[in-house]
Amino acid sequence: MHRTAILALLLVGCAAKTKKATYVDPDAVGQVEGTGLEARDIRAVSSQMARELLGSPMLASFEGVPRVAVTPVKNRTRFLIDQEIFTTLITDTLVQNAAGKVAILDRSIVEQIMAEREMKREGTADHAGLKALAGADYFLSGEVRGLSASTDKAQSDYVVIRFQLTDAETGIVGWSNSYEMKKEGSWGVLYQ
Amino acid sequence: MRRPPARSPRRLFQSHLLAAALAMGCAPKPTPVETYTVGDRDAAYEAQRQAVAQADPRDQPLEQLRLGSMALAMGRPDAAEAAWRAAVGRMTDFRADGEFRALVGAEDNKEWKGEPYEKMAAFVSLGALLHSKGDLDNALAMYKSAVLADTGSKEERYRSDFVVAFALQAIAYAAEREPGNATQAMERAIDARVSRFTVDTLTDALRQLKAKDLTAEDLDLARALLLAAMPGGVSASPRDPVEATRATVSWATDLLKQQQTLPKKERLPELAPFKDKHFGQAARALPLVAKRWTLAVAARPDASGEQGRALAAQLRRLLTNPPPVILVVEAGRGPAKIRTGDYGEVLTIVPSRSGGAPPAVTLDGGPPLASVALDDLSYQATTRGGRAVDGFLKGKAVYKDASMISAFAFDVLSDIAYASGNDTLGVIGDVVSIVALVSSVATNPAADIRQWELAPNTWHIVGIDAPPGDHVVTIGSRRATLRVPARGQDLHLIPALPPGGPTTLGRTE
Repeated sequence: MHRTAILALLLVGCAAKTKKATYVDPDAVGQVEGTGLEARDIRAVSSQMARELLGSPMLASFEGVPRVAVTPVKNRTRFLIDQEIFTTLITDTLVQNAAGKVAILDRSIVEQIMAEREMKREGTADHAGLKALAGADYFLSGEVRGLSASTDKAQSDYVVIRFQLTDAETGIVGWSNSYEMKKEGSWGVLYQ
Repeated sequence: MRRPPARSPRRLFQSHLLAAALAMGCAPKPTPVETYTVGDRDAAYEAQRQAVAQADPRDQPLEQLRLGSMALAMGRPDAAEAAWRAAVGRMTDFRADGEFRALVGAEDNKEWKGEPYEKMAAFVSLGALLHSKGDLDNALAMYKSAVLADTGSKEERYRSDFVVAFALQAIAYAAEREPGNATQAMERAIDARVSRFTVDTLTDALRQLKAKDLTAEDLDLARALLLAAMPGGVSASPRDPVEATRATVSWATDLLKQQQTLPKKERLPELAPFKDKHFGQAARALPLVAKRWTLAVAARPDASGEQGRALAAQLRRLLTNPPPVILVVEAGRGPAKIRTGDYGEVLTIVPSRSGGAPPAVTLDGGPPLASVALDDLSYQATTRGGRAVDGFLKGKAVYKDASMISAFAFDVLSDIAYASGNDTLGVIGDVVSIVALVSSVATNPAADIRQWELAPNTWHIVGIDAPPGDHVVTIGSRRATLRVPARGQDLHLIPALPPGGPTTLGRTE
């Protein structure tokens, strides 16, 4: 019995130690080491961009509350990027930090919105009051571009993430900024 | 002395039966890939999923690639995408499990990341799959990664010539309404494809030159110099063999001056064995050899580049007259890896025996549609030159025969120490001696031949111009429903592995 209890404790102890997944800080350096964009890069860029955009003269001088439609970020690098993560992070950061000074439009669900509006107008769905669909005053667009170089020993990637705010009436770019990073990695000798 | 009792026939039979039962139980089980090949696909797929779940981290990327191949062939594109994304993520990660174990033990102790040709095939396969799902940005990313994986080879004549990646890039850019980028990518595809004809023409003519008015040695030295210069020459003029010879000769003259000043280990492979006097001999022989070579190339029936021009026209038509449906048809199975050398230390890649002629594609019972041959994975695999790891394995083999401490082994150990941030290993002297002593006894120089057996060997493009709606397409012996879109362009990846993907291609409008 005594031996059985010890064995059971050992097994439980061993099982507890075999846990492989742990929570990590999204802003910490990851276990995966590539030269591409990582979670903390996207978070840092989104945060910095949102601060700079909200402080830009173009938005500050707008009469009323400017409406900004965020468009998906274009990927022109060699890395797989989930564009929706970018769009989501930017939208969230802007909404949280805008304090009512900027209205963010979600055009990704415009088809659902149009269908809902039609149901309300037909009487299929009730409503608290019909409103006009908000038009965008500006489009916030972005793209990620990269310059890659590789030898059999090492790899380097220079990535530039660029955002711009374009007037939806005139097409004038009122604000833009680029955020750059360069990473290099070398293969172990057995991979050269 | 008493004799031991004789064994009865019944006991003999029982012992033989037991031995046979043990042997059957101990016989190696077929791998999921083997099971898939003999036709039990569902069982193989489940077994491969188990293999992924249970695989050592060092084998994870490879098991994921295999799973992806099976999933795609069985018409499960989402599962294929998930598996290939996981594989590609690890293959591009600089961290790797088991590097030090592989250094002093078997090479297959290290995490598998694939040879460059396997990376190229993985990136293009995932890219085409994403392309077929409409994720053009990430498809472009994978095509670019495939091109980048084709760089870094020691033999520069074959640098960045992965035609299928350039061609699919062009098609994706066109779909993204970036005609400038599309044209540029397609011209690179044409250059990469056509330059092979040019290289074949030039090397064949060079090989057939006779040593008239020259010594055989002088001719060989000039040949080596021209071969070394050929990448630059063909890059300057990939589509015109005669111009390529002139450009190669010009490069050769520059190389003569440059390579003489370099230590042997930094020279191009063709010029590494040169002694100082050989450079002088090559310089004196070069004008005469160059003149004969240029005349020989001009006299060849394929000197005009007609073959290349026909191919270029076919590829350009994909952009100027884009069909509503493009099929990227895989064929054959990729090359195989084997061990050679006295200790099995050399990794040799054997070109595919399955060839890779595409299956005939017909639409609605009509004649076979034209296809454009894009690339050959066996060609890509066998033209990358040696790897530094071969040198190390040879070093390990020598390690056994020669002195225990070599400068090469010390450099490698220091490299591992630097990469792992472990300064202890970087200490010279006693530690190296001890490691070398242990290593020379325990070392296993066998090359790592883990491979993605299910990679295709060739890729072909078939453009289908048909009215919108449902059609019947046959690909070899396979029938499928093809939905031609009313707007835009659909691209479908047709795997070589049977049963060959889903039975319906295209989305419901």
